[in-house]
Amino acid sequence: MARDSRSGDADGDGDRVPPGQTDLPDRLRDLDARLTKFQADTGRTEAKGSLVKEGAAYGRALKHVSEFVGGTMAGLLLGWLTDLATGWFPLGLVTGLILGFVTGFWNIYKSSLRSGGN
Amino acid sequence: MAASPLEQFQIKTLVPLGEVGGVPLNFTNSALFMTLAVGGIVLFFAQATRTASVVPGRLQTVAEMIYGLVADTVRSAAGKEGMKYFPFVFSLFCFVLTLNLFGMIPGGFTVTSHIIITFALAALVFLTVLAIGFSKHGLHFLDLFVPQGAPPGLKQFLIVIELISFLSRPISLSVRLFANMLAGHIAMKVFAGFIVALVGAGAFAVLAPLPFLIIVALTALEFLVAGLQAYVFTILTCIYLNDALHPGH
Repeated sequence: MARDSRSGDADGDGDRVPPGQTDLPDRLRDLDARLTKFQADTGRTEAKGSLVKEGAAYGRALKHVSEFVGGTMAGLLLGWLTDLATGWFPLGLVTGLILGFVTGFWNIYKSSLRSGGN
Repeated sequence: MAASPLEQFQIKTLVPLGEVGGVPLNFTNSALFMTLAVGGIVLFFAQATRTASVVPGRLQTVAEMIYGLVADTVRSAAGKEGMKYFPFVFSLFCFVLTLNLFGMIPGGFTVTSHIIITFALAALVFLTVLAIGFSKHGLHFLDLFVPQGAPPGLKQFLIVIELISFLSRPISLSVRLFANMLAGHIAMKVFAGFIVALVGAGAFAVLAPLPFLIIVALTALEFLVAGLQAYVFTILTCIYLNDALHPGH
């Protein structure tokens, strides 16, 4: 089935190449529509889609967790190093941890902005 | 049960090579799988490009797809300038992907499930970004930490946050890859353990196919995660490289 549709596309390209590149967006949109229709017809998206969607959601969750953990750990590490250098034992650790939490949320905010852009 | 779900992550010494400064230096199963991965990558690309032709064969198609994927990622995330660092990013992608996939071989060892490995890779990316940033822009690289358009009172605070955020990058990059591989492999082993336990539990053996079905789905998911995480590692490397190349943005 896949081969049928591909050869169909190739034929379409062959017919349409002479007019030049001006109608490229139209052709892309046309291809997009045909692909969507083809996927809907074969019911492929649903079978494969759920696993991919689940995997992607799982990946996104772990991504945000790692952003948060990374920020917290970096803050904690900096605070601890400050403590070691200055001898203000609990102060640096606590301040670093709080700043780390803030950084963790800031990281999540930034990374979700980035993935929203994609 | 004989096998704990964590047993698969144990480092075993295969060939002891002596000591350096009191620290034992051994060829371990981890080192073996890294060597196998590098050998596999070299063999694969050597074989794929040996008979390079205009109409690609199967291997060449796969090699070209991998090349295209990484090249597109570098170009879109780090711009044309970023292509100078393509060999670095490509090697990193192939190495992580191969290690992840070798971990899927039954009885194999997942090198990327050890945080020291992923942290070393992330630290390599981090130090590369620092070196490129400072050598290209000098102290202007520090503009990266100054948020644009923030009110004066908030600005100083955000600079501190951005600084910690920058330092957190190698941690989050390494934690992400390590946590994904570790969690996935533990989940698979736990469900595999359920099958054995159910089969040995008399009448409850009729339920044994259930975890088996789950483990089939989990295996598919793990292959997806193996590819996805290698790709995520690559795309984040490119985003960080972009920061080093264009710190003003």
